[in-house]
Amino acid sequence: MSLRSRLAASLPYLVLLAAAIWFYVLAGRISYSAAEGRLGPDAWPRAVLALLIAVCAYESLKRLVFGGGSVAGMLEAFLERSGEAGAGARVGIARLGGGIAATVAYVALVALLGFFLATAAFLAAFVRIGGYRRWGVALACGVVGSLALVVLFMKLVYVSLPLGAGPFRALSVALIGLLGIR
Amino acid sequence: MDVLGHLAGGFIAVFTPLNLLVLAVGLVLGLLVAVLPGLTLVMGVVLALPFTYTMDVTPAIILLTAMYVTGTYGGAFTAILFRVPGEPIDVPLLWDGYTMARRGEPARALGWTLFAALFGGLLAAVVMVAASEPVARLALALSSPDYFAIIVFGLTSVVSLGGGSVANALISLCLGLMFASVGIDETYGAERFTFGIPILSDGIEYLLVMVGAYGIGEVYTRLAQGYGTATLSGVGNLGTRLPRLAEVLGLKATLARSSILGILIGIVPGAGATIASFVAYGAEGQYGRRRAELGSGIPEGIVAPQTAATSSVGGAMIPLLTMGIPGSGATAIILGAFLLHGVQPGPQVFVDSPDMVYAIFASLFVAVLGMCVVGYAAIKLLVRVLELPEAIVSAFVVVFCFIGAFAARNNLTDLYVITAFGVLGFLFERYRFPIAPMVLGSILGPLAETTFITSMISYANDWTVFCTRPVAGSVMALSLAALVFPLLRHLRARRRIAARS
Repeated sequence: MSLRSRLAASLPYLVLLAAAIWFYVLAGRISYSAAEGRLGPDAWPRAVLALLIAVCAYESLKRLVFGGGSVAGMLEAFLERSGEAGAGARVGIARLGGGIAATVAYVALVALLGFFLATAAFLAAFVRIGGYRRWGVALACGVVGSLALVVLFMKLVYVSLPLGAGPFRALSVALIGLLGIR
Repeated sequence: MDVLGHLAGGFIAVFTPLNLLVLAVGLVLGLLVAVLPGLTLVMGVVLALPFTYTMDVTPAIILLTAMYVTGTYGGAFTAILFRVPGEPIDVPLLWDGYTMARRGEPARALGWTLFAALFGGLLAAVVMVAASEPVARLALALSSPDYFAIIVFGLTSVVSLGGGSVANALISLCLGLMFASVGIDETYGAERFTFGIPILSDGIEYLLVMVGAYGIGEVYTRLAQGYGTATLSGVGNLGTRLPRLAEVLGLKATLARSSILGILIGIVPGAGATIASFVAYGAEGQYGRRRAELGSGIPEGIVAPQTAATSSVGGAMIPLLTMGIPGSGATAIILGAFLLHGVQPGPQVFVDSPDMVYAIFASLFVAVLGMCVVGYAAIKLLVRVLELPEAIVSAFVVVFCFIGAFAARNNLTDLYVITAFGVLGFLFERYRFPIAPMVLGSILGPLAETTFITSMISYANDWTVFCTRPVAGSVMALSLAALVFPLLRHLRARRRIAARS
């Protein structure tokens, strides 16, 4: 294994190690007043962070010096033996990026558009990003699905969902009125 | 007699219209989730959470438990018929179940699966009822160091038994514990890692960690790999042929061995149906009468993993209800549901709410029976669900996750948090960090910290108390053994390879 690939293998652990050390220092700065001799609110996080630092230091050093070769958990060992451990599958970065962007946009817009409109748009967009080619079906899925979810959660399960703002709120209110939801 | 009386009351409670309705819904949803591409048992239980918010605690837990138990069975259909294991639990069913089906006996393979699930599920339910009260009485006598040691055992066993490497599992666990420590500290009221952000002062809800990492994370993983749609053939003449009594009696050793293994593995915190399924198959290969034929499509290879997987459910419910310690990913979410309803499972619930506990017990019996009836009658319809495009299913999963996260606190910022945990869940899957330790850490973190601090206060900061008290010391030794065990297995495997070469 080349030095470069060893460095790449140990990089996630080095990043975590640095973060853990930073948080350990931060934990020492937590302000509190406690009786003499009592453990403060920093004790537990520091104990956890000390363990995290030790594991990350060990793992990054091991990967730098020896490359891979981890001790697998029991389930991992079973799956490796059965050939069902799904490592190394190809990643469609564009698809994933599109999916994450659609999710973030949905979260950002749901307060403005309200649940019905934002969900209809999100469902249609996500179905397309997921590789389903028929636009009509994707759109129908969005509208019908969103309507069904509104009925299911607002009418049957009594969950309060965002109504949106401005004209979109008026639209949501009109819709739930039509559906007989109070 | 007291237990039987309570159980009879539990059955009466289950047969009230609302409880029976949620149980039926749980059965159907659990089977659908197990069959649907891209959905796992744990995800299914996560997705059902928002439906439980406005319910009472008893129907809420009945719904989730029904989904949990059916999730160990439904995946068998697609594994046996189409070589599509819904999740790792079903992998051992490929070896004999699929082989038997390919040999032209799919109905026989499905019949054995149904019988194994029925037998394992019912036996485990009986053991759960018989063992829970004594365990709860024992748990009532535990001190805080003992309790802390038991939590540590739960956390270390999820590290050593789970997926990924032990180091990665430890890192995942530490991250979960750290997420749980964000916010205002309960003892001193001090702010920890809030960075002046108001939403962080309320802490990071375990619900957001589990819904984000399990639900959204899995969707992102599947999205990155590319979705597919299964094309089914030969569904028209599907059926289930139950085994005859003589055939069942011939497998009594397998049934007994696998049930006991399943229940015991279920009880161990951190180990779940998947480990039970693999271990039972492995035990059959080691001790079974027809071990040499295993893998060639024999009933033993179907019965062993299926019996163990379903019986692990009853086992996993014991530590959950008696000590508040989840034995698997699904029970971690059921624990979350209990907490959302303001109920802390543990020995005290047997004293305060025996009606609820026994209704849950009774519901497991009814769920196992109902699961088999639905599985037998509706198999053709259930496997048709496999034809649903995964892209559509995943889009709805994301929305369900959002509703679940939003409805808990009516806070839109939580949606950003679960999206972030979704990305983290994807990265975990990608770099083979197991998610279960992080989720368990975020749920059990506050309890672990409280029992740790209480122990330190009660015993004047004497750290040795965790080793010198009989119960705490023994459980800590078990925790150490759980951590050392994978290392020893690894070294033995390396030595074996070296000896061979």
